[in-house]
Amino acid sequence: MDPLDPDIGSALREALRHGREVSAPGFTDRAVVAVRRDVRRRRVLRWVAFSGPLAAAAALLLYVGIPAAGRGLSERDLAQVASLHASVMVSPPRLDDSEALAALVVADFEVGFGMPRLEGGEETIAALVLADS
Amino acid sequence: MEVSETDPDEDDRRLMALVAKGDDDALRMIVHRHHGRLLGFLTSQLGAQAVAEELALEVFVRLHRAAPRWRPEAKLTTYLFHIAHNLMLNERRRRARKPTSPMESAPEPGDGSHESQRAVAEIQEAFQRAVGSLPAEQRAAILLLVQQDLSYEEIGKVMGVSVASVKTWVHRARLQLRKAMGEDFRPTA
Repeated sequence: MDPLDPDIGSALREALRHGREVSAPGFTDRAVVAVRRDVRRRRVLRWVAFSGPLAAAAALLLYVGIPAAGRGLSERDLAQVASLHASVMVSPPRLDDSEALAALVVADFEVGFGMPRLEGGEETIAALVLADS
Repeated sequence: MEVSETDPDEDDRRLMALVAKGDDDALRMIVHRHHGRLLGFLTSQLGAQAVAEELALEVFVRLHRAAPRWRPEAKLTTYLFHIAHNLMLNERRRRARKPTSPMESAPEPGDGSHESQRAVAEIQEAFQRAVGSLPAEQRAAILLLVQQDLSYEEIGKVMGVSVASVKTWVHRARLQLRKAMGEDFRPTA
């Protein structure tokens, strides 16, 4: 039953009839693309959610499995890393400050992995970026 | 893909089962069948077609996510409008903007050469403005009822409320519309 009065109901229906359907060329293709993108995104999220804890567990097992004397990171090393990061947090380097960035990267390598100190500012960063890529 | 014209709801159920299995053609068919009305509803509610299209895209993304769990207890149209309604509420909350005129999309004007055509166009515009000025629940209810031809029960499912609430909103909308339209539409009985 139409709840509106016959006159106002029919006039309203007529007024809104034009907006019942709206055409949008190419919408179907865009919707399918959006769905596929969402499927990929959720697949990545699932993979990260699964592999992240798994990697952490593997790292922990590896670390526990190594005899205490041979562990690479001592408490002193961890403290040094923490203090370095704390100083960076207090005074973050600008992105274009290549010396500061190089110092941070080199310090992290030196403390974390016992690598020799690298020098050379922008060349150092370039070498590290290239090596990563 | 063959789709019968005899029972659209049965076709929708069949297509959704295929979508759940990852059939892109079935998805494309569902979008093709339903996006026009979905855009009509969202555009009438939000005013801007660009925003309506963004929300409609998200509606189909959500539909695809839900496809494996979807049970054909209600029409697919009802389910789509339900998702659209919820997204629209979220959008309104997110933007927290002051009420705009949701019915900005005026009807296509006639050539203006005849008085009667112009009068009809003016009445239609007046109605759209009046509907646009209704509170959100009343506007949604009246649009779903009058524009999209949903039943009270279906509107209740779309909006997640009882049929009694829908009837109340429609009744209030009718009173507001009659008031807004003045003396032009007196009850005939």
